[in-house]
Amino acid sequence: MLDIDGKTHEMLINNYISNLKIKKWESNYVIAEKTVQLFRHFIDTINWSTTIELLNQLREYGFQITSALPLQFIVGNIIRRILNIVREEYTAARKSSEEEIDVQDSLHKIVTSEDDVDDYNSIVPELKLSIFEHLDEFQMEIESSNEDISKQALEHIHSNEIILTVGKSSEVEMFLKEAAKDRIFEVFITECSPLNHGRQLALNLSKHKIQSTLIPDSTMFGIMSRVNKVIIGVDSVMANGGLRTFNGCHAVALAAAHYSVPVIVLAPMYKLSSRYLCSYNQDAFNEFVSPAGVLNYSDSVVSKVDVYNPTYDYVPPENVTLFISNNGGHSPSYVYRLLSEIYHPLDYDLSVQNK
Amino acid sequence: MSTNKVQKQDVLQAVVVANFFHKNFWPAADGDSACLLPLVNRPLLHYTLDMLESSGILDVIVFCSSGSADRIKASVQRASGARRLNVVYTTSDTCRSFGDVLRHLDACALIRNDFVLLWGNVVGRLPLLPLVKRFKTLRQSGDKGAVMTIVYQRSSDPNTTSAADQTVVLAADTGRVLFHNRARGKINLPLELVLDNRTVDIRRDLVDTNVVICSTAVPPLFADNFDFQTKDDFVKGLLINEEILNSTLYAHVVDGDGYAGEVFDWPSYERVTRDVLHRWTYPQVPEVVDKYSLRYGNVYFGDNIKLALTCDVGNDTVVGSDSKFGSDTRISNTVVGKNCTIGNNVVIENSYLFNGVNVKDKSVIRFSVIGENCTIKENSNISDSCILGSGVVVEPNTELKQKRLLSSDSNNKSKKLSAKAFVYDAENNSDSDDDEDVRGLTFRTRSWSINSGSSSDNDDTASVAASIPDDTCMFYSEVVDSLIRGFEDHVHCDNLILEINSSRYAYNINYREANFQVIRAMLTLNSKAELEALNQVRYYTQLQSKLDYFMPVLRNYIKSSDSCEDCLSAIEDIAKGEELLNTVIVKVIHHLYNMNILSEESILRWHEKEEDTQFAKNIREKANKLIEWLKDAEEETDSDEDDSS
Repeated sequence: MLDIDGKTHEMLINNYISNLKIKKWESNYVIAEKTVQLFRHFIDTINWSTTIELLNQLREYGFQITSALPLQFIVGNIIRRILNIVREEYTAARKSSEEEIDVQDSLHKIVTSEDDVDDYNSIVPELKLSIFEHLDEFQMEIESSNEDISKQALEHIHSNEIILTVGKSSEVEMFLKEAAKDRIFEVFITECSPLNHGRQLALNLSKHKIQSTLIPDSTMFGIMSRVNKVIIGVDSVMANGGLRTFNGCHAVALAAAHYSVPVIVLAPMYKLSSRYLCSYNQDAFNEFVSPAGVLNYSDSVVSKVDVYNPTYDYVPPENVTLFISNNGGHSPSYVYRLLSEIYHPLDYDLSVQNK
Repeated sequence: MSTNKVQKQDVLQAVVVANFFHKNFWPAADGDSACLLPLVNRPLLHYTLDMLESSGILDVIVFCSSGSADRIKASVQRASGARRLNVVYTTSDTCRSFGDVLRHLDACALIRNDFVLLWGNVVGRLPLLPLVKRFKTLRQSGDKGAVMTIVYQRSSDPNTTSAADQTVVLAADTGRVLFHNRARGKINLPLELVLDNRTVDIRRDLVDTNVVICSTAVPPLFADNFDFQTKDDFVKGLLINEEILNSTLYAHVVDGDGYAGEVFDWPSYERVTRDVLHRWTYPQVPEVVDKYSLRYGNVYFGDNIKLALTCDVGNDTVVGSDSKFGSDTRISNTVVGKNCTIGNNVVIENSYLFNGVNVKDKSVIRFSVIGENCTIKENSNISDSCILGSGVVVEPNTELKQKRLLSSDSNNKSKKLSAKAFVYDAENNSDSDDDEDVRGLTFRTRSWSINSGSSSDNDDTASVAASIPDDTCMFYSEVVDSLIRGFEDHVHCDNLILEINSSRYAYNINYREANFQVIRAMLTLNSKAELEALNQVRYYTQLQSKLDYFMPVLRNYIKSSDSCEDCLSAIEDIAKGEELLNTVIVKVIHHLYNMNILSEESILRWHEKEEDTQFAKNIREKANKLIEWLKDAEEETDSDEDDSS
């Protein structure tokens, strides 16, 4: 739990940032939960009378946090989502007071709507309450997202199939375990060096009586011809449907494309990011960690060699067959639509103050 | 209430010594606040505190000299990582060495538990909590005498790193430190090391990290042994007196599970900077701890910098925020601070520019350190480990090589170069001894620093060799002093024993050596002049009266057969040098035998020992009578016993 009592927002934000920087919270799921808790506290304690004040304040905090943590896409996702929740609740309350309730925007409505940009200036009673209700729903959604994804396992994994996965991802683990309740199938897991998280997954699955084989990353291509499906987890889904995911996934995706093996990506909605990859030398896309996993410091060549140890790989959208989110399956070309549903266009750039 | 107490006991403390007691970084930073020296545009101390914070330590005691305390406090408050640390400052003006700091800690009683002790110049990431836990279980279950775990880093390049010139012998199974030596070249290992342990590791690839995990017994040990000045003294002292002090040392070698580098001079500064840029210290890398963006080739750009289009930025380079670069400027392997202005056609290689440096057109800087707010005017050439203090202004068209420059002439020892540049001339200065070890940046092309390194090594080994007999001599003369004073002032013998014992600890003298020296001292109390005045008979009576007076001291030292042996060899040793004693040596031995100091067996054994020198044979011949008498006496007692039984 966040220690909320008696601290200023400034302190809370600094605390939050440094916690993320020192990797106190490892998994994206925990980061998402903590972010929601933090912003819930902000909405509760910020002094606001009109919605625009609240929005501006939240955006300012969001900008502070996201610019301090450019590598944590998940933080920006959650913040934008919360901003959108505030906007939605405001609009819903306004509309319900004026006309009939129509919360769900249809595609048709989005296209035809003229720019009746609301100024969020009118005072809506009970808005805070409804925002909190919606936030509760959002929190529930985050908590149950892995379960919701794994419920769809039986639609995708069939008997006697051979599945290949990369490294360790909690979504994939749950998905496979769920499928194993009814079906018998075989899993190949690449080690995913240098972190070698794949070993942990292989151990967990074999404890669960799933026939699993751990293979070195390099042998993945040789295995691929026998594989029926590649199922991987993801760090973030980019706005064009590309993936920022574990190192080594791009090679797997290319091999799968070569053998026409479908690549299925398990991505809960909160991992959908509004960012694009423009260049491989882009700031704040990849994270280079200590080269210790690649080369030992005591090896005497260290001073003469540049060693890179990137954490992530970018997989372009054309190599992804299907996303499975907690809301069901989507193709990569549909991601833009999901984005416009869950984030408000005005919040894509947090640095710009809207009037 | 009770849970509160338990938590208090479990608090893990760290002591950061933020005062280096050396002037290696002078004039870029003075000794007091050298921990604020910027490494990749961030004070060294911030790295250390961040490392402690990320490894889960919350209570930190920072030791600094009172002169620099305010600056250090102000700097720590700006550090992002330190916000969550509970930092306590302690200052002292009298501390002149690392040992003094620990004595100061002991006096202040700030230490409540096992603690992590490190200098304010350690950069890296180390999982300290597991190390402390291991140390605790070691103390609880295995070795109660364990007082310290020393953390070493495996060196990246044993051939070139200057810090690797130490030899450590570890017991392979426990990691206990058995032997430690800093000498280069040949070293003598005692045979017992190998005989007493099944397997030992003899390692020469270890670099100090200056991180140690100490038990609460360490500060008192420093307080008791007031000659311990450095950690090396401590290690040496403990290893020599292992049985006496009942303390053991352990080592932990970091390899793969972390990184820790210590910045103690310019070569190590260079090495650690490179390791930071190569991200071995992750997450303590520029773009995580500060606002930088990372490009391929380990190039880090700060916020709001201006680079001319034709500016060429090479690998391993950091450009601090708000810096400007002119056109056709080339820069590589260099750290440029914040707010620097670099002109056109400038070449900067393998150098460190601190904040606010201004370099004008067509200057060349290679292998140098430029302090804060320096100005280097047109067409200057600064190369080969020049070190410029803050605020130096170098006039146009100046060539500098291997110079140290100051902005002001504080003690009239420096040569004036211009209004704001004074060359510090090491050779002409009286305090140049201190600076002998100062090494500049290492060059790839020149070996200036390496030469100076090897020349100082010879001195080191010589001083080590000379220091060992020195200690014994000092001990001997102190014992003589105490005995003379004791005899003249009729000091009680118990107090004398105490005095001798404390000198014994002070000079690291082992038991047997001490026995030997005490006997020697006792037999040579008379000065030369006195001796000449005395004849044989009077000499003996006087000697006997002294021996009788010191009988309790003798009884204290001469207890076992080993010590009897020491005693006899000491007598023999003195007799060799003194005619008078030589004549009465048999009487002395007989007297000591009568007083039950020397045992019969030991005298016989001494007599039977084969000796080569003529002198030894003479003495033994002289003692023949005594031996015969002893043997007779023995037979008599034997036969008496036979009769009685």
